[in-house]
Amino acid sequence: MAHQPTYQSIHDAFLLQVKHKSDRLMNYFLVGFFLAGLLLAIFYDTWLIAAGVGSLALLAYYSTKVLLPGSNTYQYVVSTVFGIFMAQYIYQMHGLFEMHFIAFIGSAILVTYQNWKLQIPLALLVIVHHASFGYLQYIGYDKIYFTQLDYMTLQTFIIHGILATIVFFICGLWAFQLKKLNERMIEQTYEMGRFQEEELQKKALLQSNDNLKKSNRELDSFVYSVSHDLRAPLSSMLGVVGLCEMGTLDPFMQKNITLIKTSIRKLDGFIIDILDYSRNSRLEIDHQEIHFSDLLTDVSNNLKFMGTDDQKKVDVRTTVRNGVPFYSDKGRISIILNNLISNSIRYQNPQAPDPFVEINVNVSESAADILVKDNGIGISEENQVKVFNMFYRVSDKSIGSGLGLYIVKEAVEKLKGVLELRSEIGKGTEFVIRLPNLCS
Amino acid sequence: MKKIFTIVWLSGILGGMAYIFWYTDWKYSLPTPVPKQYHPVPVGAHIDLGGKLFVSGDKPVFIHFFNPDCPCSRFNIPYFKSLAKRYRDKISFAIVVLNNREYTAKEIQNKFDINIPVSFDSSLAAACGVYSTPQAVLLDANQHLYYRGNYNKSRYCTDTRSNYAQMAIDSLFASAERPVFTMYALRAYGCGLPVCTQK
Repeated sequence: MAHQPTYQSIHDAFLLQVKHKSDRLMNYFLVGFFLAGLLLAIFYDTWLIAAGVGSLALLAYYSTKVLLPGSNTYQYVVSTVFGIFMAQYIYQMHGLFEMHFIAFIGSAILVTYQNWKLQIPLALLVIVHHASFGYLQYIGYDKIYFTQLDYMTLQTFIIHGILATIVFFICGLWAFQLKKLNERMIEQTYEMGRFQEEELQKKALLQSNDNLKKSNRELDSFVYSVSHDLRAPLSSMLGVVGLCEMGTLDPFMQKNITLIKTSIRKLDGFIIDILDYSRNSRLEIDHQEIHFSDLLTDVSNNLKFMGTDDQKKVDVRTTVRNGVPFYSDKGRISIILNNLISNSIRYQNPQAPDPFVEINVNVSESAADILVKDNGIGISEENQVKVFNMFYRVSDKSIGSGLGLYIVKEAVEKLKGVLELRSEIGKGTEFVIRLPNLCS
Repeated sequence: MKKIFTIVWLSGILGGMAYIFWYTDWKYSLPTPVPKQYHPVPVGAHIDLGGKLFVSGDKPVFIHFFNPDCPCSRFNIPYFKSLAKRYRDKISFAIVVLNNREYTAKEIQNKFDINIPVSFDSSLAAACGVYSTPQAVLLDANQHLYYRGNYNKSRYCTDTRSNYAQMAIDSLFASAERPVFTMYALRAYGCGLPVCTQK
């Protein structure tokens, strides 16, 4: 996605554009002023002043532009130059009063730079020139003839000055307002651009979110249907294998059939895990009252026949303290407990004389704290982070799909709970889970 | 460093402009220095035109001393024209060109857009006591010097209270007493002779 330019960069680019445009215009105006001087020279043969002062004025402007390229001093020079052209024209036209309008033309031209300060040199030049000459005449200095008009009294002079100042002021004001207006426009354009970009980003995000949801849904339904379609034939196989077992007394065959049954159960367990995972990610959270004692009885009953023949029987101890009703998703809690307890049975410590798994549930108004603790083989510290990863198995000898703890973590997160693991090699493992009470 | 140079440079240019204004205008606002070999010609003196001007003898004569190179003279053209048109029935107008370059009478007449005699004889200036341009000289019908001086207090000729040349003409015909002119009228300013310079 294109990088959004900053407000400052747009602002600067705009100012540069105004400057370039105005500079170009200024070239035409200055040449125009110079040619106008030559044209006026025809009236009273004032060629020397037209060519001399005119070209010096142009020289002042262009040389400043070359000498100080980075600054806008030349703009102030052009302001002064307009004042000088006015003086030149007044002289050339033998004091023609109407030539004073040149100052106002200059003042109006300067608006293009959108800088009110440019009015100052022009205004100062005109005011100081008039004021000093006027003053000299009024104090009776007879060598300067500022004006011979009878009506040019001090009062008229003041009005003249005020009106000129107003013109400069208004031109300065327009320049200022034009700049402000443009700045506001830039700001709006910038905001609009940003808004559009945000909208685009949001749209793209929604789109990818939708795509993701869709592919997730497809994956889930695929996993679900595959799991179902796989389990059914497995059950059939198990039934047929059971019949075979009953129909033979050959110890060799019986041993092989037992191996087949174990493999089928392992495969079935794996499919159940996938099914659990799929259910967890696919199904919405269910709100129903949880009776932990019943739930734990069910789970431990299901796991009664778990474990190999050479393993000891694991003692499942449950303690439930529930003064208040607890609401949550029964299916998910069942998956969590099922996985944790079966892990405790599966990874029991052969050295321990009395392998156990202890389940403590403490229900309060806000949450249920579940502790699953065993005296199994334990998990090393470096593996404690990894065990929650999908398909992670501590070693190749590990039994199971590598999905169990991953599903536990996902289910806890889905129920907005927190999960903590404490374990020590050879001593046992402890899972602490806190699930919020979804009673509302 | 560059800034200082620019300031000095711009000041130089401004100085150049000021000099041009001074050279073409302001210096002519000051009284023209009186030449060393100048012989004053008093008012009332008889001026012998010696047939150098083709003017009829029975009318007062108004001589305009003009230099095409002198800015003051150039600015004065419209005013002289207006005077000539207004009084041409009563007065014979003539132009004396004080310039070293070659001009034809026609060229000068074209500048003024008026058909009056033009002379290039600079001795007329000495005869009338003129040492600058533009200057007005008014002779009465007997060719006595009635007025010699400036047209106006300033080159703009807009101050009616100081239209000295016109005031002289009016008083000549009113046969009133010759007015007393101030220094502004009689002390010549403008361009020196013969070229447009004060040197």
